[in-house]
Amino acid sequence: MNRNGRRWGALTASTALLLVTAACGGSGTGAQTEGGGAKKDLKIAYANYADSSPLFAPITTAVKKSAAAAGIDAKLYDNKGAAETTLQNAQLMVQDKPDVAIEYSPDKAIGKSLFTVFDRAGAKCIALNVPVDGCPWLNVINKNLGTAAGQLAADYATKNGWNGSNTTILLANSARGGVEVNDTVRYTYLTVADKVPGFTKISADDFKESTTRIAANAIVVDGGNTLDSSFAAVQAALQNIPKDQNIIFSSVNDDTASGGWRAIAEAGRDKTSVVIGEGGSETALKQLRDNPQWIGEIDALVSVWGYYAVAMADAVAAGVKPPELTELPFVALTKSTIGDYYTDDLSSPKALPQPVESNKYLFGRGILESYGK
Amino acid sequence: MSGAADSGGITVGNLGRALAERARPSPVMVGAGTLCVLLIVYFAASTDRFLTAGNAGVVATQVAVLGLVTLGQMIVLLAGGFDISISGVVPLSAVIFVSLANTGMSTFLVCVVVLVAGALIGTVNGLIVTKLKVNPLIATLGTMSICQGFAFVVTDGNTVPLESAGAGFLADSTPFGVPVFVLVFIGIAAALFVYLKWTIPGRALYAVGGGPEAARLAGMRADLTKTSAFAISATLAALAGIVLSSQLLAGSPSIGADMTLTSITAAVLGGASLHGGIGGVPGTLLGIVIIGTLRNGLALLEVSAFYQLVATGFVLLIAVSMAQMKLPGRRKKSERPPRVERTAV
Repeated sequence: MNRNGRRWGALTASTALLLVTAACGGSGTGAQTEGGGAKKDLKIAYANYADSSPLFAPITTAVKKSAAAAGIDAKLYDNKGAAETTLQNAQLMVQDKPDVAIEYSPDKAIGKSLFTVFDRAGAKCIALNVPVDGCPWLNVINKNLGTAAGQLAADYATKNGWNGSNTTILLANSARGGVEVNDTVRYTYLTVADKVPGFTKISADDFKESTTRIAANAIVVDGGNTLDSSFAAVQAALQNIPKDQNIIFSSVNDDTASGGWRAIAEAGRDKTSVVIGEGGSETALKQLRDNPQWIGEIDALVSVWGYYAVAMADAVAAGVKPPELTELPFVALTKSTIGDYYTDDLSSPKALPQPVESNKYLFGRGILESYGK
Repeated sequence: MSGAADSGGITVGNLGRALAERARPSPVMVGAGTLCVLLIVYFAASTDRFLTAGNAGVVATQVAVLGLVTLGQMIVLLAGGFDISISGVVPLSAVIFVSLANTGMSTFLVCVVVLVAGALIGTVNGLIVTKLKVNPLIATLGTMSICQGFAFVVTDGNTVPLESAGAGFLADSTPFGVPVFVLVFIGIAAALFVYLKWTIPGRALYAVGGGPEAARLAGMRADLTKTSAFAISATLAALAGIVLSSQLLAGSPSIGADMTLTSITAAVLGGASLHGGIGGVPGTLLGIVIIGTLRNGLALLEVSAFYQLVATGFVLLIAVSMAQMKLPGRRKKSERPPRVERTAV
């Protein structure tokens, strides 16, 4: 075969591989329609942040399941984590004239454009997690997650005689993640400082994304959102923490918690340290169950968000005026409560948490009640 | 001393001349060495925790992982290419290592499988570049994306804990108080030093990178040489993936994301030319130490992540400026690609 022949051969093989990969990859880019019986005369559209991500894919699954159980016609879209796809999807969504459009946008900067699309088409809208100006917001409040983590840390410290003189709090933030993401570690520290003697009390505004040292016993590192970068950052930070100090470690997500914890363990300081994870990943839940030093896990229960979104769409369509912010649930798990929320395989929560004031109106519509059935 | 192979074929006389040449450091090495010393002095003066045995151990472990991929990157740069796929090979090999080790397969066998997979990816990179004439930047960008995608597919995007007790041996075993992977890194660096200085295929890399057409006309198998460079780079990236997962006791599809840029920076800082044909192991080690020292020192001084980015950017600019000083037309005699005897390859 001559050189051109080989090139064409290679290109043909590559194209064939591409097609096989695409075929293996699943449903492609089109929207999917879900719906069960005709129990509710309701048509909704849901655009997910990114179906390819295991963090977000369960939301689409939950929307499908809950809509099917309630007989709601749900059309699904994938924003693929891209602003331009999100705008294109919004235009496709309104063409089908849904009663309510649920938008999980990857970028809050395009919120005005999205609302304009929904408003012009006369579609009611709900913003999930990321705000869309003009649409009521369904969101987990990171400040509350951080406060819950801080409470767990404070309880442990109080019970074990840990305080500001013998303990250092080490936090892995996401320096480039923005204010909302870092509210978790921010409020973890504020809560610990408020409840455990010996830690410097500061205001939330004093704890910025660029903060690295709050006090002699409070250090912040950039965990960079990944396992390896958190490992490296914590490994270096440990050089600045005297060996006789206990360590309370927490971070913005489970990957950074795992990476940082591994650095602590490798330095041989795990016996005098504790960790509290954020996210509720299966790996972290296993750690909570099996690792004596992993004392708490703040579980944002992402896998049930779809139920709350569909319930909110049902309420909005029925004329309920939702509060500006409807809270998504979370639970602060400990070794003694993990069994209450999870089965032994830790795959999904057994039941939904109790309602809070802002999401009470979502209960009793038959949608949240269908969870687990 | 940046590794330019500056003499001709391998004879005893040439060997002596080569040794004498290497005793004279190149301006880039002097510059990089000065930068390294300045950084060490500055950080030592700024914090008493910098010059401690414990911190030296931390720097060594962090530098060793980056060092593996940087040595591979330097080999590809020598051959006149770029390897962007490192940031895909590292996470893919990490998750394959963890997934296979968790099945109970022997750790040795798992390592072999992962390293072979890495070598295959590198060979594919090389073939795309040499046979399809695709720009190395584009070719390896494509393989990076494919590898990253497969890493997500293998784990469904999740972090997978390493459950096999023996699979963490690279990080857990510490003969002479040094983790095994650091010793492995030192061994590989020594082997590559010998490979580049004293073997014909190693010296051919300089010739092919410095003047591919001339090398071809001289009867060298330029395509094979270049492909082998990509294979070495990807194999070392796969080894880095194994080391990382052994160290972290977990495999994640998102690890090693910044390794491509960092490895290029370190290699160029150590004297490797972006135009090919110039570079070497000692310079690369110096580049890696500079990057490792800078990161460690800034972390010890608790400098904000934002300013760390700025500092890293400055170092990158210094590295590129140094590379400009070494443009082919301005090379010193000691930095020119070697003559490789026609019959030797």
